[in-house]
Amino acid sequence: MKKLFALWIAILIVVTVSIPVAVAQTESPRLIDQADLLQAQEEQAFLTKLDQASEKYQVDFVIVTVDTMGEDVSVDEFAELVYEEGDYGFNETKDGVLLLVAMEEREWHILTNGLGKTAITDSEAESIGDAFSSYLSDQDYVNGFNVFFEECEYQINGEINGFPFPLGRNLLIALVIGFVLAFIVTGIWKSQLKSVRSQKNATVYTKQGSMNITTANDFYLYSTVTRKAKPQKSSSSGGSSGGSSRGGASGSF
Amino acid sequence: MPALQQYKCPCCDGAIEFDTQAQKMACPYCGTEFEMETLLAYDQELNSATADHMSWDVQAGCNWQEGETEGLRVYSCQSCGGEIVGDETLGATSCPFCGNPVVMMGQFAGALKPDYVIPFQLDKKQAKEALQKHYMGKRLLPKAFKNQNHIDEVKGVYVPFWLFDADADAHIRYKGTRVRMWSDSRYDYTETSFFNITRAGGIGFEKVPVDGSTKMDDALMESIEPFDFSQAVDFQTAYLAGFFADKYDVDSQMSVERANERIRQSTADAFATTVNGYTTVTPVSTNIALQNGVAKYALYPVWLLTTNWKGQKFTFAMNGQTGKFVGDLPLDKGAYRKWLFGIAGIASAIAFAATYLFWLL
Repeated sequence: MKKLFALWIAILIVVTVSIPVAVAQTESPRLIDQADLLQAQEEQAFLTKLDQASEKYQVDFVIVTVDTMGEDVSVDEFAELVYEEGDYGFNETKDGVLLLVAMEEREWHILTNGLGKTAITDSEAESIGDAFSSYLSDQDYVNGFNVFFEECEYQINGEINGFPFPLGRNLLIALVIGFVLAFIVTGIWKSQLKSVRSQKNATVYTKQGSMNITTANDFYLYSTVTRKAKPQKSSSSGGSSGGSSRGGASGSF
Repeated sequence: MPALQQYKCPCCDGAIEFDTQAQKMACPYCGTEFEMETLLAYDQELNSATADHMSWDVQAGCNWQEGETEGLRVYSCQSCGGEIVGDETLGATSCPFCGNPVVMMGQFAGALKPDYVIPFQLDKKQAKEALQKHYMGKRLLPKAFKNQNHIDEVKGVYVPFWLFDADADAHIRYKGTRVRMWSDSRYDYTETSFFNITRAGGIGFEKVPVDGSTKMDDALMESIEPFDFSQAVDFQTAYLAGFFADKYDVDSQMSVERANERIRQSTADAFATTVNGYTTVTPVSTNIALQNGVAKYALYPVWLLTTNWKGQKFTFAMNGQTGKFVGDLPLDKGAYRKWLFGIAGIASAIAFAATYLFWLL
């Protein structure tokens, strides 16, 4: 843990030196691009976006990239450490959401805490991860982070202000239901018009009680067993740390 | 030379016919009814007398070109002397001039004599009523077809059927699977067990009918099945009086394959029902050997109704015994579209409202 802490300090120093933005020194920046995935301009734009959203919703939006996490540490543990050491999170409940990307390990983790967790369930975090990880694989980091940010903002905004009524989607669903139903009903009516059909069998002409079975043999041949890994439960690991509810999802790219 | 048979009322000498309500021969003029047994004796008497009629002239005039009369038979009516022209399978009809019912005796003589006949139980009126009922409750039937429809022809026809008996010996092998599923903390397991299943044995079928007339659509005739054979009686030509009848023109050899096809399917189905307790069952090999008995020749009662609408011919058939009525009907395309979009619109609106309510909750 000490080693990790040292690493964290190193990151922080690098960052604070390289980006002298108007952020209070005591406060950790919401974008730490240690792996240097973004250009300076993009970084600046992102940071502004993250800051504005964080202030607006009173929920921290944080993106951290590192070259490597070091040995003996899992991506969720590392993300948790960053969240705690960076002292992220608004209010007492430490409301926030953090994306950690580790380049050497090619792993990502979304950490949700407090209101962040309420707004973004673990399965939602997983689907957000699915949405952006392909961008990371293509080294399109700007769009990947944008997807992450927009999806998180949508969920958190929905949690606070209520979700907008998904008009287009619901209209489409309603039309599909309507037409499927209409095709079934009119299909039944249409089939009433047709009554001339060949008989398939001669079952009505079976001689009563004429069926006798002389051989009835069932024997076991072999079995095959297949196993499928259960969908991994997202690492909701925060149990010990001060009762703050913590959740999230991990994956690789 | 074919000879005609008319049944004359011993009471008033009118031409008598079979009455479906009374299940007897009845005279439409004086109302007298006669038992079929009486007619059987009467029938035999008349058959023995047919030699006298053999000399009756047949009006195959010299004007016919050679080959033109092939497939045609010309009879002369015993009542009015009018010429009745029919095809070679015509067995009973009514005289186009005097309307008296006639039976072509030669069509059912000797080896051509049917073994059984199921007499008509339902009459023309009931056939017409059944057609009206057939139209009912069908939303996509064009209204004009229902309302302005004139039935061109309603005729009671004794259709020739071959009846086949068969004993099937089956030996069928199936592959069956049973699936068991369980889980531990990390994996879901699926165990599929495979079984070899063998069933062998026999099953019998009797009186499987096959339409023996090329004039009748096979699918139409199969659609009005089944006929209740327990009501069949030994054939007497008297039953044909007042109806149309055809003799067979497809022999039993040609018909037996159709019967066997259906028997094989039924045998496979019957044995498949004895295989229980598996998740899936697939037949691997099916051996069904059929032992066909003697084919019987029977006449079954069918009401045929025909109509034309927009240049298309529609044929309906009613089982003259059970009243089962079939016949394809035209589709009202306009109504179909109207209903399709109407239902889709309403159902979509309800579904949309439901999603909105769901969102509010």
